[in-house]
Amino acid sequence: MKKKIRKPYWRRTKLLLIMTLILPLLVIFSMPALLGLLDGFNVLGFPASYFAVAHGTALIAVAAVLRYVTRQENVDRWHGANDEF
Amino acid sequence: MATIPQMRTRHTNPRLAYYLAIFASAFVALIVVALILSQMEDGQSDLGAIVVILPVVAMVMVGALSYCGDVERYYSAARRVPAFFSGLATASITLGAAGVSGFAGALLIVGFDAFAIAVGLLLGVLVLAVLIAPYFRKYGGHTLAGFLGRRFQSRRVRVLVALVTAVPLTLLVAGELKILSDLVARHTGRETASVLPLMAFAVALAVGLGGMRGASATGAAGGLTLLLAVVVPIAIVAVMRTNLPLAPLVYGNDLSGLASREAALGLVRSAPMTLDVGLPGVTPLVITQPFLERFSSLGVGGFLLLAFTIMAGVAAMPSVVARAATTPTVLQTRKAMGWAVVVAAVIVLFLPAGAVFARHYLLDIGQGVDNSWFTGLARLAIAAPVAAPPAEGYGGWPVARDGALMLLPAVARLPEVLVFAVGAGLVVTAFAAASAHALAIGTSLADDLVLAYAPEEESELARSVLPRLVAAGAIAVGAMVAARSGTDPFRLMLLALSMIAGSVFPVVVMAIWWKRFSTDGATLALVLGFGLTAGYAILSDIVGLPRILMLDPVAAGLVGAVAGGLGGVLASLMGPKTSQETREFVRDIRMPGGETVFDRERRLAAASRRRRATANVGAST
Repeated sequence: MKKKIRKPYWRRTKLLLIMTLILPLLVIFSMPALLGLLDGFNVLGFPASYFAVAHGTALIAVAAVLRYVTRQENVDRWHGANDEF
Repeated sequence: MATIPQMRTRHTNPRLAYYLAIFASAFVALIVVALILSQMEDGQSDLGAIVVILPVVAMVMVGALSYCGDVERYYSAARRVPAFFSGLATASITLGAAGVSGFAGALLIVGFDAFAIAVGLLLGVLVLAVLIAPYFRKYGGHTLAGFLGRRFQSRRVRVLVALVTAVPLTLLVAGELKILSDLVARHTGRETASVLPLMAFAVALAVGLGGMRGASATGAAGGLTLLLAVVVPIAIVAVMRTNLPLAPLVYGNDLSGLASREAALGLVRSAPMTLDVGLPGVTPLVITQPFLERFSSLGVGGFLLLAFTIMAGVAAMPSVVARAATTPTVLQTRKAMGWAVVVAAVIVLFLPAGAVFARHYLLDIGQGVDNSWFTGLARLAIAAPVAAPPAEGYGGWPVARDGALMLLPAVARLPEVLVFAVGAGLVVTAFAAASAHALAIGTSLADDLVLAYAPEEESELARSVLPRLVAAGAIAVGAMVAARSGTDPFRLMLLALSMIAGSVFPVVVMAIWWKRFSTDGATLALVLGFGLTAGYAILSDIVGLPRILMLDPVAAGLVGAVAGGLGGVLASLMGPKTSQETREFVRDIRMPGGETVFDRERRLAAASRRRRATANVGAST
């Protein structure tokens, strides 16, 4: 594939990678500090700090992967990087 | 002659959906028939044995019916597995029966802190989906070691990765075989030692006959039955307690009520060291920690280290990475990984609800409501036998970590057949996971160590036979490890993930994402990372030396990954630049379109051989 197609494609792919992974990784890394801030609040009848970990992690992971799959498909299509379309 | 794939666009296997539907229907029918029979019979029966044995027979049959005569199907299922089924298989192999049982048990016994496991598992599949799987699929090879060997154009790296990954994969096989044999033994009333060789033989038979094609079918079946085994009993109990089956959304009141009851009992949190990882072992334990108290069994540092170690271990698990090459295209691989995250998330969302419900029932029973089901629980090793009725609260009632999933239907007084059904779901999952890990060892050791540089047209028979023999050998070694008394399947899984995280993870990620990463860097990262994690595990768990800063070996993978990764970066920067061909390879795998790299190279190599043969014939005439 030509360099003028490959370079912008890879730049957008890297950006998408960062956007996909940064939120989940930041959430985990700051979890011990963040949980204390959520004490005293409730979400759907759950303590907010518990909800953030028990439900939040799963929801963030699912949202991140779905967003990644759809966006990456769009990036592939836009740059003509995938001949499946 | 070797089978050289000719088609650039491969179609998925349309019959896989029918086969899976038949398997799922048969599994549900088995449970329904067992339920009917249980209502017709009085006293003891062999229903438990039937409910767990028949799925094992079915899994062996699935392996046999997926028989792969040609090498291409044995190694990569001819890349015809649809995304959804590959996702189901990926989830079941990643979690495994050891992982699901261990996580469910840790939730029940230590409560909140067990979420470190869930966080690691979920993010591991996410990282695999984004950082590794699509690029491995574009390469299209059979093993992670082969991929890295080609990336670095280095036999040394290929052999090193094959050897390094064989150790954790064997531990994973041992853990799954242990839990498989334990479950079958308890349901049939036999000793684990007598069941273990039989189960090892059954797994070896399925792997030997079906290869990756069979592992795809058994993996998808494992994922589906695992979903049923986790979701159905917890949803039923949720309906009983809240009138709604969506357990993850409706157990808030039960959670608040549980916190009040545990506060009234006077349960107090303990204060672990920062790096402590106080997960329960195989010995049944009395619940002493309040469910909602965070960082009471794992220190903050231990929680984070464990989560990141599991994440890295899952993302680079060779048996799971190899699955990425079974789908027809890169796009399908991304979708497969998406499905794997969804399936894992459903399981992770339901299990805490089950743990909260189970704690409520245990408190009810502890307060003297009823303990008539005690004998059945002890028989299935869900709880330890106690001489006297349990004292108030959780006191005097030790629960087994690996029986936690079966505990809920038992204590909720659901029909005993549902307890067996959960056991059967775990049996199928353990079978699928053990098959996948054993297949990965067989393929890797045979292909990357022995056959990698043998002439392809001369080694067709060897390529067909050797991986099967090595897989059988790995299963035998795994069975020997599992047969040791006190083997803890969940700890074996965590240790394996720690070793993979410490050794292979930084190498495979940098191999894809950093063109400058060199052979010397990869070698140093592998040796340093594996040496640190495996060496620390041996010194701590086998030799018995005191732990450094209380750091548990199961959480040391991240330390190994950082040390190995940094060493690899320094060695790459200080050494010569990577070759033009290596950089071209990296550019190639980053582009999802075009022909699979592995297929193209084999096609070109075959054409080159034909040209040489023609030239030789011409010269001789």
